Amino acid sequence: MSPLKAGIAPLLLTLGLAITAPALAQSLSPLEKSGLTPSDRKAFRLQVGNPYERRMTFALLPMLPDYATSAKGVVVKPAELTLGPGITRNIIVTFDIDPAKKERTIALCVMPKAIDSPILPRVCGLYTGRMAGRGS
Amino acid sequence: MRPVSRLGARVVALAATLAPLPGLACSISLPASGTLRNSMSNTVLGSQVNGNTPATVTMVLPLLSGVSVTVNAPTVIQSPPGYNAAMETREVAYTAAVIGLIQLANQGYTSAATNFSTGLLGAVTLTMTVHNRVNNPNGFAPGTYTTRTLVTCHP
Repeated sequence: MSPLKAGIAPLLLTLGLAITAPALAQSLSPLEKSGLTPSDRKAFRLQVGNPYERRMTFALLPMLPDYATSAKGVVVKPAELTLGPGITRNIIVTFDIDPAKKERTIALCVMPKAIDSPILPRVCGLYTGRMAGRGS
Repeated sequence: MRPVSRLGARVVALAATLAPLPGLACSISLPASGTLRNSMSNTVLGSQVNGNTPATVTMVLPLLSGVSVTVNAPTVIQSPPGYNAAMETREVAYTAAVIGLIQLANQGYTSAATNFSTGLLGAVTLTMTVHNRVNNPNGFAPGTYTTRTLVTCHP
């Protein structure tokens, strides 16, 4: 994939670009999920897919619900995965919940790793864990 | 965009529509990357400068409850030595339509992050046309420039 680029010419800067760029794609399912946990940790099983025509490696990034700030106390297994065309795999995201609070919501974002493209496509989901019997 | 890439985008969109996807998912792809060019005054780089060569983004949205799409302003991730970015501003503009027919969003050039909701859609393909523009009254030094725009599909 060629990026949105510019190169100088005598009177004109020309930005090189991929007219025949192959598709980049990823999918994440479900986009929202919530559940109870008897402890201070909650795990969800999600599906990451590559529905298109080329092999790709995706990074799985835990974020706060603003989709901009990295989230701490979150483990994603695997943290990245390479998928062939049409392949979907399960991943597990596990996160800590502050015992002083009833619940925690985190975001998980899936994006191509080492992408060389002017558009960075990203799919993010929201996942909420609630501690059972904690002052609700 | 050249006719070849427009055709490519539609083929990909059709394939995406037919692809089996799990429920409550979002699938996003990038059929075409677009091209930036310089203005005659050497103060604007853009995909609508001296032509029309946007990037395209395709999404498959099986959600009945709809999802949102957020588009961040572009960043310049590559520029040549000697380029003075002090006065630089970066903007993005886009349109979004369902299978190229029903328009969901028409955002003019902005430096802010913007978003739109897809509403109560089911199993549709959403195509976005995205333009980038970089303004700099100091001009652009000769070399290679690369912009990047983050497009996020989320609940």
